[in-house]
Amino acid sequence: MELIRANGRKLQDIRAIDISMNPIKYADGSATFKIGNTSVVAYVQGPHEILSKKGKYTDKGILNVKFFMTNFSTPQHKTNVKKNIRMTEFGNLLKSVFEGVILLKNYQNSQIDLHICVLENDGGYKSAAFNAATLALVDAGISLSQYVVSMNSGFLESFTPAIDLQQTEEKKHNCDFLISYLPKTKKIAFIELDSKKLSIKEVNSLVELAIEGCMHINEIIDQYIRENIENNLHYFAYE
Amino acid sequence: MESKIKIVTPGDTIGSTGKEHELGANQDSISGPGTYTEDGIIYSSLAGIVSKIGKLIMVKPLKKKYAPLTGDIVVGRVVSVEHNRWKVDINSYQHANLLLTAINLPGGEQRRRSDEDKSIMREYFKENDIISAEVQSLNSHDSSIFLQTRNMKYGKIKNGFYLKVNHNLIKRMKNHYLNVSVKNVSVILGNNGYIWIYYNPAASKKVAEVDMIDALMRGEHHELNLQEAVEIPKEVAIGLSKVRNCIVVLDRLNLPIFEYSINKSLELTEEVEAPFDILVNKEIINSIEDAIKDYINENYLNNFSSLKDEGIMEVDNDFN
Repeated sequence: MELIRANGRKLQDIRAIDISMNPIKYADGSATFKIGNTSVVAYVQGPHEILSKKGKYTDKGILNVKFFMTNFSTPQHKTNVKKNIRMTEFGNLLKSVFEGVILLKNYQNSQIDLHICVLENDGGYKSAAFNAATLALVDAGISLSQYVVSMNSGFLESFTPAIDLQQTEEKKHNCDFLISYLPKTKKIAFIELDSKKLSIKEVNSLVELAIEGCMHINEIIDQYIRENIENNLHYFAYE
Repeated sequence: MESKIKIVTPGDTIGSTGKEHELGANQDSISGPGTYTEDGIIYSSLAGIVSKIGKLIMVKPLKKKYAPLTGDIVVGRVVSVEHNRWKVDINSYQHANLLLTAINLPGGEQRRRSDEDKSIMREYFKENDIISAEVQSLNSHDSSIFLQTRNMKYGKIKNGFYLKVNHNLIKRMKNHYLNVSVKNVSVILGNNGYIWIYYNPAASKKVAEVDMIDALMRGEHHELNLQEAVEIPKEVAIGLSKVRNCIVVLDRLNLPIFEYSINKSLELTEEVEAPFDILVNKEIINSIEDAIKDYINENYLNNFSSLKDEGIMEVDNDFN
């Protein structure tokens, strides 16, 4: 008999996903990505003139990423979230991944600002941040070579691998595994494992599950973007 | 209009530069905006629809930052004064350059710009001035933008106020200097999404633009280029805010902003006394939406929607 998890899911089931594009009207591109109770909003400003005086003339565009977790996003309200080093670190990580995907050659002497904000965290906020950022960049009409999709997996009791862990499940085994995947070229963009000792076999099972989840998310995102264009086809008519 | 609309997302294959790939009609294409090539295959880099001009294949996105074209009329704000140029914010990927040699000297003098002119550049335009200009050229190497104000129409604009809208709603038209149906009110619709609504005493005289330019050529003074700020009468001020609120409503409804849509929404709100009613009264907003959508459906979408009904224009989702 297959194991049923706390909220009635099977091991390979991911939580309900809700996407909306362009929620912030005065940004050049924005998107919210909700998976279960986790919700992340991302917005893009630019490309625009480079604001810093250093490196004003570049043959490649500059990407700035700011990652922010609101202090009401976790059960314990935090103070001084601005000083959190983990946030800046994860922001730099996002930057290095998206610099490889955005065709920055097309944006010379310009700057793109990507802001990502976690509104609610119920597990898997990092993977949701990657997905929200991809959607916001697509909405802003910025050239991407392909999507970046992301998914987390981990262990339940007695090393049962499961996908898309909630916060309560994450705490059980203290295993945090995250994959960012490039679905078109089938490559891994970023991988992070934060856990106790694991055997290679166990890690492989996590990777397989997470990639499966990434492909599922890719389908959902792709379908949403196509539908969004289909509903707004009249935009192209009066030119 | 193509008979088949192809929706693509980043990473989709849309053609090839060589003949060895089996991609049917899209063999031997040239990759245009919104695409990139890798190993002879053209991929889409944006989410949008594919459009082709001859061999050139490109992708048009729904939304995009304003990219100027030569001849566009823009409204911009002067950001800084540099050695021999002004930097102007025109809501684009870079600030635009307005060279000292590309402006009209007062009195229409024709001469070389001396060092003296450089020292008094702030007398022509200074920081935070709002100007209207035309895009003169684009540098193909580093894509920097150059503006010019060598016509009396362009230059510093006064006696009005500024408004920012979604630039995708303003298409390229014959005339961007509109005299709207409210008395003494004119509008400059910048291609870049910046709009200037201003008090224009000459607007009610219905001077055709050609006549106006003729008058300017003869050196006659024209009100359009008023150098001094004047006091705006109360009726005109109400008219200005009505026009502004109508444009804001059009922007919120994602409807195109052009001469007909502004005049139609002004006609529908003629009896409104307080201009702010336009923004909050749902009946008015709905009536504007219906009227303009009908107009667009009749005049622009006719071919488009009928094609869709007959099934000729099918949306092709499995294009890979």
